[in-house]
Amino acid sequence: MTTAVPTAPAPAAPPAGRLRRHRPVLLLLAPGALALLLTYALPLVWVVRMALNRPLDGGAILQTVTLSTFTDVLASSHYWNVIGQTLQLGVLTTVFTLLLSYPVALFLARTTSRWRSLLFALAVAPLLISSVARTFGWMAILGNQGVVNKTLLAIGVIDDPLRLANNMTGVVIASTEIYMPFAILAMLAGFGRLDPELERAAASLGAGRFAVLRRVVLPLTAPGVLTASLLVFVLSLSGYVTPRLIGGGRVFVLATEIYDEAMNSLNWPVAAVLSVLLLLLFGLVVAVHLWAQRVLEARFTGRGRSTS
Amino acid sequence: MPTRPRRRRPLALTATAALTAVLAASCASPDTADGNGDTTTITFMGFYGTFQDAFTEQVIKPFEDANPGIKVTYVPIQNSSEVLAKLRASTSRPAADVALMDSSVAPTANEEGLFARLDPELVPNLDRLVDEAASKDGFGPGLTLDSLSILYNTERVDTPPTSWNDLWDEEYRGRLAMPIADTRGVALIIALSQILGTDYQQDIDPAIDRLKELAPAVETWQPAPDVYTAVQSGEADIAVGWNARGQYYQDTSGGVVAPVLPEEGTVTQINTINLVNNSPRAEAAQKFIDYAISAEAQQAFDEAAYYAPVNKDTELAPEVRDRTTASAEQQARQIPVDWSWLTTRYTAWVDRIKQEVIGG
Amino acid sequence: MADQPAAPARAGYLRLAGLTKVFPGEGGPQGAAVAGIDLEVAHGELLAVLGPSGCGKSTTLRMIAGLIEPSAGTVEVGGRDITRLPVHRRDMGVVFQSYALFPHLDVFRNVAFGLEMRKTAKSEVRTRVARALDLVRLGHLGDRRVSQLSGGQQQRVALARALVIEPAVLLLDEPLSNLDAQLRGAMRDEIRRIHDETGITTVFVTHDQREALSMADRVAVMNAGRVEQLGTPEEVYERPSGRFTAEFVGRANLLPGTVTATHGAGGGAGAEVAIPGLGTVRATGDAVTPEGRATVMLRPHRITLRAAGKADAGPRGTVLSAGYSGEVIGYRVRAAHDGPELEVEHPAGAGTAFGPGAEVLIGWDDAAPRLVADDGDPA
Repeated sequence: MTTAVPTAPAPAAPPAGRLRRHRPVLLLLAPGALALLLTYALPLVWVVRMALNRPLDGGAILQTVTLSTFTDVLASSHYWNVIGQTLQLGVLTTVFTLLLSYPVALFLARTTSRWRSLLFALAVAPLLISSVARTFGWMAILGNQGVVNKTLLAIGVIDDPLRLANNMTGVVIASTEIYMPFAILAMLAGFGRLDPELERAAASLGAGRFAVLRRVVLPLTAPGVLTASLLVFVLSLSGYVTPRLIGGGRVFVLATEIYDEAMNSLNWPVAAVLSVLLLLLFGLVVAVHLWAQRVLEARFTGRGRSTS
Repeated sequence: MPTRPRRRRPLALTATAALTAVLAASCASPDTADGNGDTTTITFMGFYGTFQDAFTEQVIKPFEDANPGIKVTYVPIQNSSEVLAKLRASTSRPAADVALMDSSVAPTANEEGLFARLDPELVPNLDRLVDEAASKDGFGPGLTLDSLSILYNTERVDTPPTSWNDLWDEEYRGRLAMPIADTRGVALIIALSQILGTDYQQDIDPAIDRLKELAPAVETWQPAPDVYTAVQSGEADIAVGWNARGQYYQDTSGGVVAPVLPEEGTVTQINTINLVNNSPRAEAAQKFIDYAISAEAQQAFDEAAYYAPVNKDTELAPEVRDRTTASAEQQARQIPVDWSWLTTRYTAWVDRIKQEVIGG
Repeated sequence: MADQPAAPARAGYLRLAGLTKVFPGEGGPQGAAVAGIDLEVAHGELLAVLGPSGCGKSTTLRMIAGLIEPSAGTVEVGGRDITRLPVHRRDMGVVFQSYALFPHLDVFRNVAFGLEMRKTAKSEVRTRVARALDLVRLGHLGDRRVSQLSGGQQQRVALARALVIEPAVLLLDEPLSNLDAQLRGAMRDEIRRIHDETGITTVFVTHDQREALSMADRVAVMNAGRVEQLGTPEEVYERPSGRFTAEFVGRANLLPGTVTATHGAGGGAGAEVAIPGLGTVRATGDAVTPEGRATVMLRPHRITLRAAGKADAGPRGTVLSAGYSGEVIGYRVRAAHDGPELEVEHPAGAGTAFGPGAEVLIGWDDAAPRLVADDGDPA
């Protein structure tokens, strides 16, 4: 724009002036934007394009533009089952992760112990170990020959091994442990409004421990819990390793199904359709999260409220 | 002021030179050999893990020793579908010169023009192949012959299974590992159809129904990391798996894992070795294919990895031969299968296994 | 409050006895944070606890509230020992220095919180909250968010929240320290007005002597974990018991000298003290050491300076510096040539202003000099 009108006086053209002023910023953004375009946007376009093709027998692809692969997938009870299991895993994992992480995060946020940094490091240390290794660890613990079953069998509590692995139970247990550090980090980041003085104020007004927790601590930590739930839910929706390794082949989630369609059945159009569905699911989750966040923030700022 | 431009230019020159050198090195290295006749490097896509170890040791090394002008680079892959995906993505500049592929997938690649027909002049061993491994329409021949087995853990199972029907035995309930959402399941359906007296090309419903009955007894449909280690660790006691790997694990586990050829017979699985279309090193590649299916290479590789030889002239040691699908016992009870007919049914079958048997 | 036994006379509605706090890791040469405080606050009284930061005044307040557990001693309200009672059952209204308003609740819900904890009926909550908000003149802001309020408004909400539960005792921790100077003055009057309207026994902690003197019925001056002096604002200011109080509550010239004569006893006691550079000074009080020495306190604003003529008699001095601060001019004056250095304050605009080097005659109000015990702890 600027070069097209070299004779125009500089201050007379505000958009051009703004562009010029922001040019260094735009230049700095360019490599990142280009990298994103190449690694994210283009493959995405390719996936959407692939979803409009039709699969042929034997892994061949009919190049066309049709929504029939979408309608086929959406008409299949199997894929609805896959979507259902994906959501089930997401919800269960999120609920258990939040329940287990919240006390830890709360303790870390409130403690004044000089061991705080050490405890914090311990809480997030599992991140240093790959989730593959941790899933194998859980298999060693939960399997028929695992620590739990061997112990229970040995002391005679059970006669047959509990089915803790190779099913949804095992996937939820392992996923919960794997996502806990993420949840703890996200919660801590969102616990900024937590203030021991507020808890003291509540107590001085007659609130017992439980009332302080319910009426003050929970509402103040809600933004952190919300962020953590988004993170864990999205991570578990897209989780591949844990359902694959500890699911015993009977946990069908979108991530494993996409892999199987692409790599085993050679059905790329269906894999692409499932990928698009997963993306739409993400979009939905993020939209719900943004809405919940706005509602929550309105409680603190008073903006966008209807009634009290 | 004159110092600035003078300082800049050498910097730019150095950078350009370095970049050019890197680019030249990365682009040109595989090709250079053809030009000046020193060495040709061909890229081979084969299966990962123990297969790679044995193949490198028993086939690639002797080949390179015998052909000082040719080097072979091994690119390990998970399965045939991955080969297909990689070749589809690199049609003009192929990612490999020679590639392995399951005989149920290869027809798709042949049809899509990803593989080229072989020149019989350059691959004389094509004439010496057993029937199952013979080249179809001039495309890549079989390299390995394997078969589906029952695997069991000898320490935890008192009565060894002898029949496919033993999988349904009450004794093994909850102790089964059945990784059948792939070629193993397709092979099992063919074997079950044979037992049930139905023609798999007409109707697989009876076989699917039979597998559904098995579902409640299955501990895992997807043992991790694989079925052989799951049986070895006792995570599962009974499983289905490929014979060659089962035999290999029998050796490495000190006899804990044992593969069984069921009395009803079994289904042969074939991996083909293929020349990639548009390979600029087709001549060296075919030389390598010819060596891989030679009696000498087959003997060395099969004695290490327990595949049955594809070359009629191969003489396996009797104790090895009896453990491969080439044993007299096995040969007498082969269940016939038309893998190229299966090419277009494969996906539908796997989907039925996943949706009706595992998910049902 | 209704179920409390009637307060026994004016004395000791709130009683602290030997109240002590030693924090872990302390208690060495520094002593305890709070070292055995005995204090009685009458029913309906407004007591200021005044002291420098770190003197233990906030710790004392928090022990009364139950937020800090005492190491020793007892807290009694209306004759009942509440030392071991948990915070939420103490019936104390606390206004925190940071106000500690709940950011997730609007003004109405903040104020209603204590009533909701007491399971008060909804309709009663509404009327009482409305009354409390009217009391602090925020009746119209019930549906505002805390974040939308100014500092002064937040302070009033905190006050309303603590008052609405009609606590046995109202505790204010540095309630004005976060307000700007203008607002501070207004809020001082406001708190005093609210106290007078409600009649709630109130203890408030401050480091600002003006706040303490202007608001409180009585002032407890604290230093290093102990109460230095307890008395009415006038007593504390005019008749400080010791050097610390004299210097911390207002400014003071402390002039050591030799007692030449004493007379009277009790309230009417007095002495004549010879002070180098100033001559003999008549002072009230009886703080005389057995060796016959005493310290005379002279408040700066009670000293007068006059231009010195050659013939004038009386103590003389030289102005060292003069500082104008609007209402007053603060001088530093050297008495005689080698006498003590005095701080002097004159109302600005009244009489002559002196520049540095000016020779002045030093005079004082006859009632001004006061003997102060020299506790050997110059602040």
